[in-house]
Amino acid sequence: MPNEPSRDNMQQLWQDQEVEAMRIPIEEIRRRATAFQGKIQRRNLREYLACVVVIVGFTYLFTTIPEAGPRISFGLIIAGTIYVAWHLLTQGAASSVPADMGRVSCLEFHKRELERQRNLLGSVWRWYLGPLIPGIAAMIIGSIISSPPERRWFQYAFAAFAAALFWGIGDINKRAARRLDRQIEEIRSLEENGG
Amino acid sequence: MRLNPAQQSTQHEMYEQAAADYGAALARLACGYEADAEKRRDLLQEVHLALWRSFGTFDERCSMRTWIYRVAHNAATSYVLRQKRARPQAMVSLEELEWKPEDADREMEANRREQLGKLTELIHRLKPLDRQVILSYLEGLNATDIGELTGLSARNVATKIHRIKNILSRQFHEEARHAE
Repeated sequence: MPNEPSRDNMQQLWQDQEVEAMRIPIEEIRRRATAFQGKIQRRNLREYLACVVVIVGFTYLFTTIPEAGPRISFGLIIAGTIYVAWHLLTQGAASSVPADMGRVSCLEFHKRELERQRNLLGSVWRWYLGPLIPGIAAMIIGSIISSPPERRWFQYAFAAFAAALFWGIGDINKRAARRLDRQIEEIRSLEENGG
Repeated sequence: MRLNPAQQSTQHEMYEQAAADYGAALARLACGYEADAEKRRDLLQEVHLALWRSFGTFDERCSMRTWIYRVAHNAATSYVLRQKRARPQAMVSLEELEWKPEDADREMEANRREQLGKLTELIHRLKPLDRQVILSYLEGLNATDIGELTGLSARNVATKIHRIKNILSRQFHEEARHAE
């Protein structure tokens, strides 16, 4: 059997492969670590800025439009957006890789990463979609009430589109969370059986 | 966490030592997680960065080698999860992995490069945990070390290694048969 590998042959085959070992000077490592943190901060900043734009825009409308109906809906949208921004600020949607990953086993780390992703995806209704619904619903209902009946088809179409969009986003996230749940369960059952 | 100058110096020294002693092993580990050369370089940089950061919290509760492999596998797993989030079904477990003889028909001449390519391809199909076991095995770690690294029991690691050896042996048996 000239081609049959023994255990040692297979390990030798793997260990003898030509690879380019990387040596990064400390200064370069520091620069990249700073750049990485900057990237995370910029990503968070973009999310906050989007919230600020929405808040400023609707605050302007809130202060300039005198009718009570639209003002209630604008107020609800502002409140919902503030909640989303607060959640991003406190929970940190875009987090960096933990520095203490050498302290936990690969099994535990894998489970934690899956749980973190699952929790973020699974709670999207609570922290992202849900808080925005009252304001958008109030805006659409107000717009329907104030429109003449023959022109309400546009508001109905917009309401259907918004509902489908929210449902779609929620459903995609829920399915992804379920897939992660199955992987988490596999790891848990492995842990329960002694690893 | 901010480190004092002495701690920072130790952190740098530990990283330098790890990069010198395990640079090639880390590069091979990256090969086991990413097929694309350009992306593999990015992954390897990520692993080195994670390693450097991790030495700020190294508490000597495990050996340096276990720590380095843990950090490297965890950083690579985190990378794989990000890459594969959209298509997690692409990965299988060792128990589901089957060697398909028809693949061997396409490669009548099994030389080392082809063998290595096939081995790497097989590794890329595995779920993170099984990938960690097979890569550690190929790096020459024993069942106890792999158990400490992954968190699996020694019995489970031994079973997985037994299965890995069977799969690899079957794979290259087939190639030898088709080459004749």
